[in-house]
Amino acid sequence: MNRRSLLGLLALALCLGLAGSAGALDAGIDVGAQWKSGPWPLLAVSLGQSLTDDVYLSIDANESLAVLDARATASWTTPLATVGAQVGWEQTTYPAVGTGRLDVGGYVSASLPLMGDLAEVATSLQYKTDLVGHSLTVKISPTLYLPLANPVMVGLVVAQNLVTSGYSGTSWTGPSALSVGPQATISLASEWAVSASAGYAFDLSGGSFAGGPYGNAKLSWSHGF
Amino acid sequence: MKTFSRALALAFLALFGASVAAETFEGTLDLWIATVAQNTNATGYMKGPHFKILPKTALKMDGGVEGYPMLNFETLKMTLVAPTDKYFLDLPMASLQTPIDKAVVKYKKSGKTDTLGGHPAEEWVLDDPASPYSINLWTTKDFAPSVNFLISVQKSVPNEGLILGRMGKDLVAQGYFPIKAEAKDAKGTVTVAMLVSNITPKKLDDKEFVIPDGFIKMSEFLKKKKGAKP
Repeated sequence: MNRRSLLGLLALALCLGLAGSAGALDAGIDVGAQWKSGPWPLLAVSLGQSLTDDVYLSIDANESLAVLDARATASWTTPLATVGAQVGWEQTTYPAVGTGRLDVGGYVSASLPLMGDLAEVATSLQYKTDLVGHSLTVKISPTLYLPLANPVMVGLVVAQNLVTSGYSGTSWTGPSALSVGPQATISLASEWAVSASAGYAFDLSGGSFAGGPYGNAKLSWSHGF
Repeated sequence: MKTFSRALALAFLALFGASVAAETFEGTLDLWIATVAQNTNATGYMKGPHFKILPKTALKMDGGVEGYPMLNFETLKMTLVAPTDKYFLDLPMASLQTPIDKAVVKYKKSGKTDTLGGHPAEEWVLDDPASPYSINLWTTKDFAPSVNFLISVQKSVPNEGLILGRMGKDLVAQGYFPIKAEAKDAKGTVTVAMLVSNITPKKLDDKEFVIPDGFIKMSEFLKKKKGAKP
């Protein structure tokens, strides 16, 4: 996907948002940096629109100057869980622009509140396929919410990712990664927030615990129209 | 005859029920509570199990959130509402109520009476020589409160607040309306001062005790800011 396609996608989201009647249009921009194999600047743009009280449509584009990830999500929130369906496009953009990969999938997420709303344990199961292989990610995030002058959320993310090397494969024989690390978000005045996460990702595919650190820090602006 | 008796009984029940309802206070009051931790000047809204404290000046609660608390004594839930960022936070009230339920506090009427805010009032004092605290609580019988709004004093002053909370629980159950209180520590320093004025009976809309439309949970507010998706 080139930049023009990305802009088209966002324009489509904007049109959908303005055409919607059930809720406000949400827009957000994140700028920051992330580390995996090295430090990369990060720019993310998101647009979302409530279609009904329970159904939310959003489009997110995430450009790290190494990988572009554009994703459309329709999510449905029920009292017990949130269910989402996603269509995404991912391609490397550095050191060379690679061939894009389309993927489709979905997720289900739920959280268990504790101590009123002061803490929760959130879990999610996300599946996607790029029509070549499958990816399944299980995530558990215990989180504490601190009602300070600038509200804060601190938590831990434990994620297990399984990937198959072939679409027809029925066993999860491909790369498997386990990542563990803390995350924190501080709500700044008005519509601004600072988030950071860090951790260590273990590559379990070779039967070893080889891996490396990862990190992400960003300044976010979000606005409801 | 049987029908007449039943009708009479129902009429009696209706009248009795109406008189009980009329005695239980519903309305607003001006509330001033000063502790070593904070100075609150607010309007209190009381109806059934609900008590909302709407500060006249910015009130910082639980670490600094600016907003107002709504207490529900039926569900034992306190909701902090932050109007600026349009979020709310539910907190369990059991951590405030349980210590009060378990507390053993000896107190008695001092015999002093006065007229406070136009209401005849009598004073209750702590009757515990072993306690380092000196506490007095003035009540009136002009109104019967529906809830013990002294429950949350212990958040800022744990020991004196617990004693006042227990006295409040017992006296409210007996139909006394707390109208003025003062607590001093062992050094004679005033650690809690409370004054209720302008007690105004009136019908309140249930909407007074409902989270405003469009407000979201604090967790959702932060997730939204973080842009969280699985």
